[in-house]
Amino acid sequence: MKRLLLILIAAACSAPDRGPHWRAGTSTTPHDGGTLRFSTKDTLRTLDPAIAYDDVSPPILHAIFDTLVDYEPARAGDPTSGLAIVPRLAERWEIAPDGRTYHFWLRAGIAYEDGKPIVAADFKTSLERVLGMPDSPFGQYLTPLDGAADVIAGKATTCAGIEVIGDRELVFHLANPDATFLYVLAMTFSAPLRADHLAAVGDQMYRHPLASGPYMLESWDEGQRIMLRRNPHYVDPARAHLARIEMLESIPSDTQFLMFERGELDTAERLTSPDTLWLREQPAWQPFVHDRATMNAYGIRMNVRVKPFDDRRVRQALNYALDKQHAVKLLNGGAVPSHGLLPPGMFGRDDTLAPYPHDPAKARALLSEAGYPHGFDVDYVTINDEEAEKLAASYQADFGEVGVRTHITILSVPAFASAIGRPDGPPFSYDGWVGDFPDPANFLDVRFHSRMIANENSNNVSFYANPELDALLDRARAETDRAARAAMYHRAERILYDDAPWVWDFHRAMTEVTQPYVRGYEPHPVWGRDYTSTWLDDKVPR
Amino acid sequence: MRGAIVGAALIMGLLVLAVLPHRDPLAPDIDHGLTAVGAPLPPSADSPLGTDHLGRDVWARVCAGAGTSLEIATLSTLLALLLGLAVGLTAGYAGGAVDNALMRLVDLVLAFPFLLLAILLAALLREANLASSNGPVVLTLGVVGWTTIARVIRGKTLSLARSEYVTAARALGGSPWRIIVRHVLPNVAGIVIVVAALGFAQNLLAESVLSYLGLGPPPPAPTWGRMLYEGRVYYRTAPWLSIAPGIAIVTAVVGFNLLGEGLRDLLDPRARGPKARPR
Amino acid sequence: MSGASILRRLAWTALVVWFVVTATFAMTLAIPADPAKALLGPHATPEAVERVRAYYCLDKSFIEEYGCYVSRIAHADLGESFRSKRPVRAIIAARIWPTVQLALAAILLQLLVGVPLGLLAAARKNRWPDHAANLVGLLGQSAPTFFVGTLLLYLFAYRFGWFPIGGYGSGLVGRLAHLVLPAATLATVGVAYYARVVRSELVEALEEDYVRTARAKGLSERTVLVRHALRNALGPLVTLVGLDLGLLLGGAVVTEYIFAWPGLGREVLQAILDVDLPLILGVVLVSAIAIAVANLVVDIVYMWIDPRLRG
Repeated sequence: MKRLLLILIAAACSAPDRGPHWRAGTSTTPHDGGTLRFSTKDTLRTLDPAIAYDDVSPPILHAIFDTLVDYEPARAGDPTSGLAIVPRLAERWEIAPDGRTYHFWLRAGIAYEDGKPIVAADFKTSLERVLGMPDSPFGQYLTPLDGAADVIAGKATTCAGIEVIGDRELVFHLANPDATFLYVLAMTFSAPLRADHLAAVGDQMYRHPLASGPYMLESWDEGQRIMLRRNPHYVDPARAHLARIEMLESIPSDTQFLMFERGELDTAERLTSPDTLWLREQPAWQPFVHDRATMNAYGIRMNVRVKPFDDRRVRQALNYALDKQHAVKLLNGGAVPSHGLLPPGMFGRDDTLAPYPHDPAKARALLSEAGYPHGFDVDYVTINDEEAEKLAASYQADFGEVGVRTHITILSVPAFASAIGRPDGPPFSYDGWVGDFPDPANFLDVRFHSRMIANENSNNVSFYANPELDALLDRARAETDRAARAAMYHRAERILYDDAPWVWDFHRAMTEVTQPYVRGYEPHPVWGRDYTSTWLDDKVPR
Repeated sequence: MRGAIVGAALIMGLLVLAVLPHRDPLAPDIDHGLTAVGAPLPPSADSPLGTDHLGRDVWARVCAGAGTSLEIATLSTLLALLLGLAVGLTAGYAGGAVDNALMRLVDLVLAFPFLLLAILLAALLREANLASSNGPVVLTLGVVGWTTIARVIRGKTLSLARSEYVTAARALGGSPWRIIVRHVLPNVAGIVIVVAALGFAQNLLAESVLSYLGLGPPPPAPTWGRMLYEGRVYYRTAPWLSIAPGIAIVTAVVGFNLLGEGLRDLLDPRARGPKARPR
Repeated sequence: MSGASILRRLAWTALVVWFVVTATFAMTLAIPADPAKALLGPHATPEAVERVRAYYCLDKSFIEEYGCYVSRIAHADLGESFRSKRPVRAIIAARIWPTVQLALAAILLQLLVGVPLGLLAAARKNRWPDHAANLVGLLGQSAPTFFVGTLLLYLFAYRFGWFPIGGYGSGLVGRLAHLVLPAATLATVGVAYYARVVRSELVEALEEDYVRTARAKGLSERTVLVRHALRNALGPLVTLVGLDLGLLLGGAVVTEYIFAWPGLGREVLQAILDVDLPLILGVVLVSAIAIAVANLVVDIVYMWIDPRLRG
């Protein structure tokens, strides 16, 4: 008995071997087969591409649904890769010189999971469905199309701007040129859907997807586990090596990493802070750690219509009061200080603009000027997420130094979302924006254009309305000359920098670690985790 | 008896902890309290329990946590006591139909799973955004925990109500209120202390669970439960973040349990019914 | 055991169920958010909102809304989850079996460990095994569940690798393997109570006359202990089991979270964090009813064994 206890204690105190259990795969040609297993700490809500708008669903939905165009795969070691548009279900396309007509020719042999061919009319069906669906957040992206506004308003059921020519040709007519339209067509909601399938599943679309992509739904124990398997009718074998993809839901981040170390998962992402730090110090794991900057921006948003945030000097003061190195440290180096919404590498970003320096003296001076020599009290609202809470404590300290006394309130995500989106809601809160596509219009327009102001669920949560900025953004969106566009967005950035409707903080990168036998994988700047070209090598024990 | 003394000693120790001078437990020190890459500092001569994920001194937070956690547990136990006394005294003194009705009410409240109810209440109160930081938790625990106290007090009151003193006082025409205060309360005091101690322990634990789930007092409140919540993920690289508050919680709960049970054995050795704890 | 007393218990249980239904209804009224908007989302059309309001009788008086609610409950319609739009009934049905398995496993462990511990403590009263058992029990009782759970997970699942790290498992062996650690976590708390009950009953019973007589008759001490005295403990143990069943069916929230056990507790925790009212209230309702029924069963079993013991 005593001996057993001693053995147990010795075993508990000895350091376990936490290195990879397998050797790096060395095959030169991809293998087919195997199941890729990964997990998420949240739950998947829906498989309906017209509704899914969170960061849990992309790996699953991007595997199930293909769209006319897509992004090229990301390449390891090339941080600018992954942003170019490539054909997917379309074989080729032509854009008219005036930028108002897009003509697509579909690829041959494309088919759904049930073998029926994908035809041009199916794109019209699914896009009109999105336009006509009040629940869908994507209708706004299709507004450049002729007749789209009528469908959204319920005045029409078909969209005049979507023209179908036979089975293989599709033409889009835009009211004005729009530089973002191709990106919109790469978003998953524009995947084709057949009318008969929609009719058959009715309101069960959320769990009965019709796969047009390399994988199809095999089983889904909601809240627990979803299993995809290869779509036998998919035309591109390079994107469907795996036999199955499995995602476990509701696994806390630290448990995820334990499972990964034990070999129960093939990849782990969103590691906890200690796990990230530990990982970076392991030479054995370095070849399998993937870092990639993704398109996002985080900071504090202010309602510029509410005192004291209606005074530009107060907003700037808060920007000077924030020490951005704190976020970098708290996020273990996985963050980069920001000067605005546009992340590094984004077209139209003004890279010469430096983030606000940390200058508490200047902050206090500005506050005095604005009439707050003794600072003021404010409520800071954030979500019940460990990182958000960590940042909140850091903000509290930074602002306290210049006399702004913050009281932290934590809300659940749905409560937070509905509270923030209203002009009478909390004026000072955490905010972040993850881009839908790599274009400044998706960042600046959505967050700061006055037409995005609503009384409920406003996208422009700063309720910032600047006619000069509006005009600039509208012109930039329709501008076809890239250099001119870039110059306009530079101007826009500068306006927002000076007006400071946000306290700009950081952009963050994602870090993912894979088992040595996982090949052909690189996190994608737009999709994040995208396993469509991944394959599993032989598992050779170390 | 020995148990009660040990319990009392542990509690004394914790109170001492609460008043010891220590560094600021609330302000993050990201520049100097963390390593270059942002990890907590291990224990050192300067900082005997190291720092937490925001660079704050862990020892300071444990000491401050003694104050906060004990405050929350005290207030919620007091609330539960008040409610329990009110219901229990009334039921026991009045007897008959009133007693029946009130005890049935207690049974009904007990029909709800304690932890679930506590979590639900805490979440709802948080959404309703009460001004004070500790208010929601105190309210939740008090409202959910009064039933056992009520039951115990009612039992004792019932037997006291039949005693000669009370019967005589009633015959003499004294007001029920005065009778309760003069004859019942002093005799119930012993039992009240016992259930208070045991209830305290339960509330302490419950607060730590609520904080662990993120439903406790908001940051930067240094309750032990919150420290466990924040330090949870560091259990491999910085286990002191979890061990220190964990030991503190266990010590406090053991202390109050020992005290309560010791006192109960002293006062009423036969009153040891089965009772399971919600988890 | 009289039919009248059974009927009385049944009637009481029915009253409890009614009370719980009414109390959960009252809670729905206390929520400021508009349930129709919360269910349909921010982009809902006015017609859809109207439809939902009519279905839930939101525009009518309290009494009518209450009647609506009761009749829906009677038809086992617990509404739809705000988040996933699935019927709450389906979600609960899918999650209740794992929680029941966990509850039963925990109770079994508590009995398997607690009873022998109590026997040992009573047999070696006031000597070191007694004190050791007391200490173990006290510590188990005082440690927060998540502390114990994380410790067990780290040691036995991760370090030693004896058990899987989390999840549900499939097949008999797989399921049992996944069940051990979460059940052990839950059992740690309850062992103390079981051991203590057994010990106290045994200590008392050892002084009873008939045990002395049995001793005089020459039966071995072991037989005396186990047979006569253990039966005395049966009553309180049954009560404990009943109480435990009820509590555990309320969902061992924290344990299920740590071990990724797909039960009601984890489901409702997520629901509470999301303020997904229909799901929360559905689970509270079902748990409370389960507790009431468990109490009823315990009372009946107690009545059944009681006359034989105390007759």
